[in-house]
Amino acid sequence: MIELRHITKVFGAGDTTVRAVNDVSLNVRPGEIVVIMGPSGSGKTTLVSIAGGLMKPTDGTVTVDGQDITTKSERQLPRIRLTTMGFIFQSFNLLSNLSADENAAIPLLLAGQGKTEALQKSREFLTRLNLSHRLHARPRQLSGGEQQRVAIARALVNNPKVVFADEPTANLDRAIGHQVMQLLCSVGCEQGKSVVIVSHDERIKDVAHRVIYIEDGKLVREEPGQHNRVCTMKNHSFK
Amino acid sequence: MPTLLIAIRNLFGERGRFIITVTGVTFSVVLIIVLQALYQGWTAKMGQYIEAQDADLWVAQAGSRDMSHSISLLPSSAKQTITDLSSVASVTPFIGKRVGLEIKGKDRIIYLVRYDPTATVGGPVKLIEGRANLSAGEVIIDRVFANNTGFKLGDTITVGNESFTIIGLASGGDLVAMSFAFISPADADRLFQLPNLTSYFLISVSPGADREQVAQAITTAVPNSIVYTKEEFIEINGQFIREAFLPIILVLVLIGVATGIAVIGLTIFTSTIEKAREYGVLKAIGATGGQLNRVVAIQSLTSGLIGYAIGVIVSFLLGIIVGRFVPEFVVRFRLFDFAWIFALAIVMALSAALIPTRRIASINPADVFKA
Repeated sequence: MIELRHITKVFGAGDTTVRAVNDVSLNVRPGEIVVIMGPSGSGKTTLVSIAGGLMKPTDGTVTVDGQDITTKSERQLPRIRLTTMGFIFQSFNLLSNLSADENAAIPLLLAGQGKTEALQKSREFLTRLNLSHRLHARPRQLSGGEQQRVAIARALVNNPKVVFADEPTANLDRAIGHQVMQLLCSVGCEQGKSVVIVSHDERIKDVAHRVIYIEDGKLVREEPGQHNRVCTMKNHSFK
Repeated sequence: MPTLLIAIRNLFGERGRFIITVTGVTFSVVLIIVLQALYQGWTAKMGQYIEAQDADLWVAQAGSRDMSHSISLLPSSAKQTITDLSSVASVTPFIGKRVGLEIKGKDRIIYLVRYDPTATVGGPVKLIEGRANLSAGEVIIDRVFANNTGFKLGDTITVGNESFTIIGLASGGDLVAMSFAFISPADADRLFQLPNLTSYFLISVSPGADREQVAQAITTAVPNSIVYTKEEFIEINGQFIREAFLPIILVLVLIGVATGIAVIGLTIFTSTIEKAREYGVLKAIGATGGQLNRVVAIQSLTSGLIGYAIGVIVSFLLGIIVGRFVPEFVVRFRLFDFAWIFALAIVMALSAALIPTRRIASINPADVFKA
């Protein structure tokens, strides 16, 4: 589903050159949840930005749903992101003047769906995430956990093939964080999407099939996750 | 239409900023509309008196131009010469003189007109207070002059060594820099000291006659004369306003436009900077540059159009209310002016959106991953 081959990203030139990502290759299959861990400045965010088509690598290729996105132009990339990818951010990043249902509907509206249809679909998603009573609330009226669930609805509403989550539990307490992890688990296992999570949070390993460790831009270690601790779906397989 | 949804929510979500933007645009639109309406009003005012006179042609001394800045003197005997021409229905001499006065320490100018109450032309446009049947020692003044000087019916005006009692207030006789006042023929003949001379002849041509041909015949018959059609004479009298005020009005209109662009531009730009992260999120999700530019353009256009609509209403109200208390505040609203000012408001709003759109283009969507 998503394949990174020999990704290298170099910032700056001459004496100030920084090799943020150094020859990293990674495959994430449909239904698989991969967590990328590493210290601050190790290159995790740069790697996920490149995988999500938000940044061009200096070298290497990224293939998402069969398309090499590194060869796509800046004009083509937004459409690819809109139709094949979903993003969940650490600080939720909801649009402050839009209600919960409007925030979740944004990808559908950007893709050209009618407002009524888009809102109906976003409300269905929010209802599934137990937010039926908060549909018309503005982000400032929502708790952190509620905001993150709206952000997850926004990431999934367009039925993307790949979901990228950046520190999805960082701003949440333990209980809410656990809920979010279960949600991400169902995104991978039940919905068969590839999920790439960047996190410092050790608890997030409980949702992962694989954990990748990055240091100084290099993939230094890979270990199996403890997926079964959170995931209630025992009988699933990667496609 | 996510762009419309986001733009409108952003705009109305920040009411303080929105009110500031619309107020700024309203101010600039009012400035432009009122200036243009005043310009049109004053230009029309310069020709209002001529327009109201029942005369097809005005015969003046060759070389004279408008009534405010040049003197026209023709021999009274020319009346008969013109009357004898075919296709001339009536000839009325119009005798007037600009007179300087000192009223309450201020210098004023009036255009004293010899007015025969029995004549059908050459009198006040409209009497709004008092009476029109003048006798010796009486004067009818314009209401703008009355308002500026504080004169009212029954007061006395001194011209030279003579005093005149105000018996009527008229409208339609203000020429911005001066206004018409009317005195009896006996007073005028004594005061003007212009025996056998007249300022203008007001001509009515016979029904069906060609005015141009009559004008040509008069020019030939009366040496040292020039003949204007009513429209030409109105145009010439309005030229003073055009030449004197148009450059000033253009500068002020440019200031109005610059103010509008600055207000919309600054508020939308500030809003864009504050919402840079949200625009980054939208970019990351998959919004195109065009969609984000539309968000800014819609915000800018909405502010511009609402400001324009309020500006039109405020301008109308100003025209009505201020006009009541300040008679020289004569405004003339034209549909054409509203149309070009509307187009200007759109250009203003779109120009103001340019800088914020450049800011949006520079937002890196990958930055949204930074906490």
